[in-house]
Amino acid sequence: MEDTKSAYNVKTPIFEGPFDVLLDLIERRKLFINEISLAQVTDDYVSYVKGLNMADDETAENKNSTNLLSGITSFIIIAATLILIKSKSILPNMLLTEDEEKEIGTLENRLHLYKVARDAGEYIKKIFGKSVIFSPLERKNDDVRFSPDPQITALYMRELADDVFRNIPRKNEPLPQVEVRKVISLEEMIDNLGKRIEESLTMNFREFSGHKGVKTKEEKVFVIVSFLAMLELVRQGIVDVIQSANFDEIEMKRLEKSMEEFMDDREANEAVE
Amino acid sequence: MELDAKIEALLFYTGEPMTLSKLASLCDVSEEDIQNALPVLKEKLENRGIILVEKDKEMMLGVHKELGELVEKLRKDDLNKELSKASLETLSIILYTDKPTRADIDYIRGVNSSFILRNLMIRGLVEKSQHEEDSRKFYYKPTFELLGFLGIGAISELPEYESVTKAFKGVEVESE
Repeated sequence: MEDTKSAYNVKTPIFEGPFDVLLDLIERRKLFINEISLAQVTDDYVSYVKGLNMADDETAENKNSTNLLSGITSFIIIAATLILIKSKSILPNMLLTEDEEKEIGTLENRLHLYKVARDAGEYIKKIFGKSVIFSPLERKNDDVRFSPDPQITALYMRELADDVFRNIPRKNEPLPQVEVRKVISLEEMIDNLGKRIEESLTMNFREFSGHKGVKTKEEKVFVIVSFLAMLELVRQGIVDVIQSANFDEIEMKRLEKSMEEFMDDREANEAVE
Repeated sequence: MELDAKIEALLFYTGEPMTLSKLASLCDVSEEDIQNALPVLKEKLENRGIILVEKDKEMMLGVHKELGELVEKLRKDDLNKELSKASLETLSIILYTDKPTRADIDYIRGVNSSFILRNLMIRGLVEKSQHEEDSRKFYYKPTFELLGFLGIGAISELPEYESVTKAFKGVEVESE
């Protein structure tokens, strides 16, 4: 702040906001809040804001930067209105739009309001904490005691307990249990497929999967598992598949590798895993 | 027993704020009767160690402000009596204007007040309340604790209450 070459160096840099600065500038000159006084302090205010921007670069690391940024924005908005007021005072012929006039009026009003709040704040400061009215402390709860009324007897308690047990809802029908059915595992399918191909050298996929037009969800799953099994066999080099056209029959043909070799390979693979 | 004695008894027993309507229904009288009995109670308490505090149609008994120091001797914690300039401004708006929203406070102060409001709420000096007419709006109001810190028994006992509230209103009317 000290090295900024502003015409007006504000001694106390801790201002709460643009209104605080503006009001301070006006009151230093012992002026009232109006357009004339606002025009007079415009330059000082603008140079203060400029200094603020520079100070921002230095202190940005220490302070909450988003807070500072929104703070500076509010300073700049007020600066714009002030420059408008000053221009108007220098150039009386300058015509302002309705919005601009309104803006000037609003700024004056807000400044008046702010002054009221700031002055009232001083009253508050004078009395705050000086002579405090203390509220009663929170009361501690008394110990909870058991105070049975005369009809609570051991026998009566027993009857109550019996009632409770009698009224416990009976266990109704057993909950329906969903049977988790195993469709078929991929491994079983591979074995099955391998064996069948051993038997007949070629077969088509439709035959293998037993698929005769998809009916149930279960059958669909079966087809999918079959297909995966077939792909696995292809990968292992046990079968070769040929499909002549889209949606045509898939012909499966056994290659030289025997089922035994395949099983050995698989065991070897599993061992590695 | 007189009504003022009943009010005193109920407030003493609960040890916390009680609404006018609750007092009225407990004593089986109208709210107006309670209102009329309050000055009597206040007067009778004048030279006693306790004082009647009222806020938003709620009553509470507190220790007389001249005995605050006595209580402070008893308390083990140090009271935080420091208020920043921003806090003072914000508190004055909450105390002297009627149900200010955060937008109102921002408008008067020219800066964002959410941080300072949160701070004041944490300190228990102000509280947030839902607007009766518009449930989307929240306004800020003083707590009993704030009145206690200020040593006042009611909002109207604030310094320069008449002139400051008038000044706030005067400008607000102009701005519309």
